[in-house]
Amino acid sequence: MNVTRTGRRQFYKPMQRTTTNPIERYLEIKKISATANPRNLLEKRVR
Amino acid sequence: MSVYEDLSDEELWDRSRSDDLFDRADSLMELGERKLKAEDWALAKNLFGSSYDLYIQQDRNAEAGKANYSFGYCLYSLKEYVDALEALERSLAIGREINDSRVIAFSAGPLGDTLAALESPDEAIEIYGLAIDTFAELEEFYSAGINSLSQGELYGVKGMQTSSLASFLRAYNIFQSAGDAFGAARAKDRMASALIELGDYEQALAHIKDALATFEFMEVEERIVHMNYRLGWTHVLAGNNAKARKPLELAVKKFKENKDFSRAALAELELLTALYRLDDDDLADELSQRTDRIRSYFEHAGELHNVCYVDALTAEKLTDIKMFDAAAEIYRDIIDRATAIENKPLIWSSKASLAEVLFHLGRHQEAKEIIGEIDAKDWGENQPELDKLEGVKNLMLEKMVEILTIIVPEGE
Repeated sequence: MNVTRTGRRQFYKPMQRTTTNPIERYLEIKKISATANPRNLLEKRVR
Repeated sequence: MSVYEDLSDEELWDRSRSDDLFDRADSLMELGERKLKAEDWALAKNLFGSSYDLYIQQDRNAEAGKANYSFGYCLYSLKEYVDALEALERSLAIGREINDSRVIAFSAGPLGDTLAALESPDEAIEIYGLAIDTFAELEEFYSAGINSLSQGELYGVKGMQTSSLASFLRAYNIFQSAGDAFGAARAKDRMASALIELGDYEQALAHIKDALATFEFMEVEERIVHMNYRLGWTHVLAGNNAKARKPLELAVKKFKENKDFSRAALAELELLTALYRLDDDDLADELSQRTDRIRSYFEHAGELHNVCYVDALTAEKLTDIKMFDAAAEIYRDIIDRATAIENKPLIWSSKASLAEVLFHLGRHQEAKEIIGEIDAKDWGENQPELDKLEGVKNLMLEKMVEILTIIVPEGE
């Protein structure tokens, strides 16, 4: 028979999860480009 | 930025009292930025406010715009949304007046967040659109991507999953073009959310696995654990209960190790659902004990909506063993709680479940009334919930036919 499960939604209110602080954004860009730069990834793969 | 970055706080405070107003404004601005980084919103707000006034006096419009959106951002962080709205709308207007894309973009981003916080999703979606376009034009890819993610969430909450998917896809493309693998993986996870609510589990799972692989490659522990939870949860939704087990067991263990007890309990709820549906009789007692334990955790943590999701699993079990009365009682309880916490989707979904068990109990009139209270349009494009509603309506027709076949012989 049909099991009518009550599920949780998949979406959030933006404010729960984003940072819009312009300065933090700069910091995050720096942080991310240090770890997630494709060149870094490539180097890692070569190693 | 400038020489001000290299000065100590003390020197900046000295200069903030300088007779040179130019120097005074820049010192206040730099101090504001430092306080902002330290999340001292109240002090940062005052510093930005003072520097804004000085910049205006000096006709330094671009700087005034920056001071003003930073001021607005502080108000947003202080949850003073009405004031934040006023400030950010003003700085956006300044940005448009002086035609400065930076001021426009950095005003529009937090303005979108403020509108979202003030429950104006339509306006927020529009402003996010402006933020995305302007950040993209400025090649501020990270910010463009983040705003695109926020826009996608709002479309999703509104039940517009196709538009939501488009926003997340745009975020993905932006992050990809900037070589930001972390952002791209995050966007893939969000794309999966839209796909899940569109009922396309296969594609959703593919994106989640991709995202997980990226995070594993980057060795981002927190994201790896989260994506295992997402993978397991999606397997449960797709009905792949056996496949759900491993990622969920890992997520529960790691969340607990990291003392993230709420998410550990949520992952455990999904795990218990999968194990229950795998129908292993030997586990029945253990499962119900574990269910009780996570329910009481959620209750103590004050997470009422999560208590409801645990109860929904119990109601599902009762429905399966045909204890419809008991299941109906639980669904009514969930509806009451969901009403108290204003969780509308939970109310609609539980009403469909309640109607189902009432039909089984032969209380057709009551069930029909409850079905009548659900407006399918509210679900937007949420295919699994629409399918569920359709299933209950089909059950209604089946039950009506049963009644008719009883009545017909009597009439003969």
